[in-house]
Amino acid sequence: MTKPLVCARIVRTQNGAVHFSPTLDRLWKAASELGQPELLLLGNDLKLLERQAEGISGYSKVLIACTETGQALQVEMAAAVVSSLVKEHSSAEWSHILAETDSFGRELMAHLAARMMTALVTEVIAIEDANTFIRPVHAGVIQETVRVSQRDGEDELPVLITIRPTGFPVSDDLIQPTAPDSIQRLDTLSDNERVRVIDEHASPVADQDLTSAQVVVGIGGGVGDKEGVALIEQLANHLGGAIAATRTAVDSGLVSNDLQVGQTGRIIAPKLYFAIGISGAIQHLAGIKDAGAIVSINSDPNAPIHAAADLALAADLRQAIPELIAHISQRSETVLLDR
Amino acid sequence: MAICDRIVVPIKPVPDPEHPVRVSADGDTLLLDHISLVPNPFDAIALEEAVQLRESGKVSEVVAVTLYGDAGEGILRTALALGADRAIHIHSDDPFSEDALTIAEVLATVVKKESSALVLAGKQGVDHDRGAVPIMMAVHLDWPHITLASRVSLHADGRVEVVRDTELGTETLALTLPALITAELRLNEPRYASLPAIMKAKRKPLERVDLADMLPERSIRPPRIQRVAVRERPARPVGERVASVSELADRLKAHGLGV
Repeated sequence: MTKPLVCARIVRTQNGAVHFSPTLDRLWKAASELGQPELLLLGNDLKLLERQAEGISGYSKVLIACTETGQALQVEMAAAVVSSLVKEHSSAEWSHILAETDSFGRELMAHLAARMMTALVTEVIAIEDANTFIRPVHAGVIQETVRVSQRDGEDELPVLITIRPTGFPVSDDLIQPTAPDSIQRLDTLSDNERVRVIDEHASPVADQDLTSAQVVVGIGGGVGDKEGVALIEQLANHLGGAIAATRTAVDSGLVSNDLQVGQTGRIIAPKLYFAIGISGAIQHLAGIKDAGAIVSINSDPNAPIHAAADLALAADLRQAIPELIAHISQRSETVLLDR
Repeated sequence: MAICDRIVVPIKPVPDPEHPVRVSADGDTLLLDHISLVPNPFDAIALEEAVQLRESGKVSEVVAVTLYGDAGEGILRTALALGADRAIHIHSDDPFSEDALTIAEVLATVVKKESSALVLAGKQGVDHDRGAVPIMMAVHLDWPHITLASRVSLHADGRVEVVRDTELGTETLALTLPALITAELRLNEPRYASLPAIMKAKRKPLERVDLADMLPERSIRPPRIQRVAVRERPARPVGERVASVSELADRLKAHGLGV
């Protein structure tokens, strides 16, 4: 029986905002395809970590590793605790170590792979068996299947994996709400003196759940100005959706960069994606290809986004969006009347 | 007086990302031969940053390194035209069979040999999107690493300040050389090679080393990760055009996506 260990971070940023992986259930889903998942929570606020650990479902065991109060969590500190855990236990304790494919998970797993000299498979979107994984390459145009093999005459080392959460959707009833059997607090993470945080501007929407939102409205360079952005925010509110953006929109200062979706940025897979004023560069498409349905609204009838969309409307967003909002509110009024 | 003698910039040759990659008719291999190779765009950003540091006098020399087959030489000529002073081509006929760990080990060996104190690398290759090799290099060198830099400032005392963007927002980190830093898209806008720069690049030193000579046989580990299949991502069905917002709303409803 193989046993995977999921690594996730829950941190409190300097402005007090809590950032935790909104995809813990998806990581669980991926890990549970490999065995009975255990969880290592890494962070910088012990109380916060303990509270989170108690409320976590599906993991039989939760380990907690925290920095000295107030100290930022660094990749090297996290890597040190994971590799010593693997060494401490017999190396066969965990068959796989998983993390999300975000800036932290990627760096942590690459660091660990070199430190432990073990195999790393990144951006996994499907698991065929304990050693065979599917991942996208070439901006998602190609999917490759890779197989990991232990070298002869060596101890079995855990295989390191970063998971692309969009590949592992979960339904709400999938995870039984069972608290973990055991929560174990590890030693305080030892300080890494080599990299220091000297300034931090936590993004106000750090906890916005863009990766798992059902409806997302994407802002492109064509949105033009803050007025256009306000219009789209209005639409997103009516839809109960999250906001995403292209690199062009971020670079022109329309929205903050944590909303960027694409090859650089996040990969999302909402049920419904509205691409507004988005041209449709291959790098942005790489981030939205897994959406259930794509709706494009762009005044340029020849914009590549229309070819990638399920429903394409060549129209000026300044007219189309208010009209769309009117349609939506009309419909919700009808629903109210029906009741 | 330069703060740092030498920056090493690893350059990965990748198929031009503007051209879609296809799978062969038998479904076994990727058809890449018709696509020209370019320096990995993120590596080009790292190179630009290194060249700007040299132009500002903070760094004496920029060395570009590639681990690749014969085609690696052309990529390094491009790197030289973009401002690298010198290039090292580690020749290997089968670069794809090497896993990330081995690539990182080879590149780290070059950094040590060059007694460089700063490596600037792209945050990921746009072909495999792994983003692992630079971090692995830092571990092999036992250097601190910072990824996803959108601004790099090198101070006279050897301290480096790096602004990086992550899911959490923007943070400024500091470390002291030696260090490895990976470049995010926003770090700079790489220059285009001018014709005089391309001509000059032909005379800049480009050293070719055979991989087998560089790493003793025993330290090269057999690949642990093998590609066993490739397929094109299933194409999305062709969509439809709608003429008005009310038609759009109707079609969404018909798709069961009434909003």
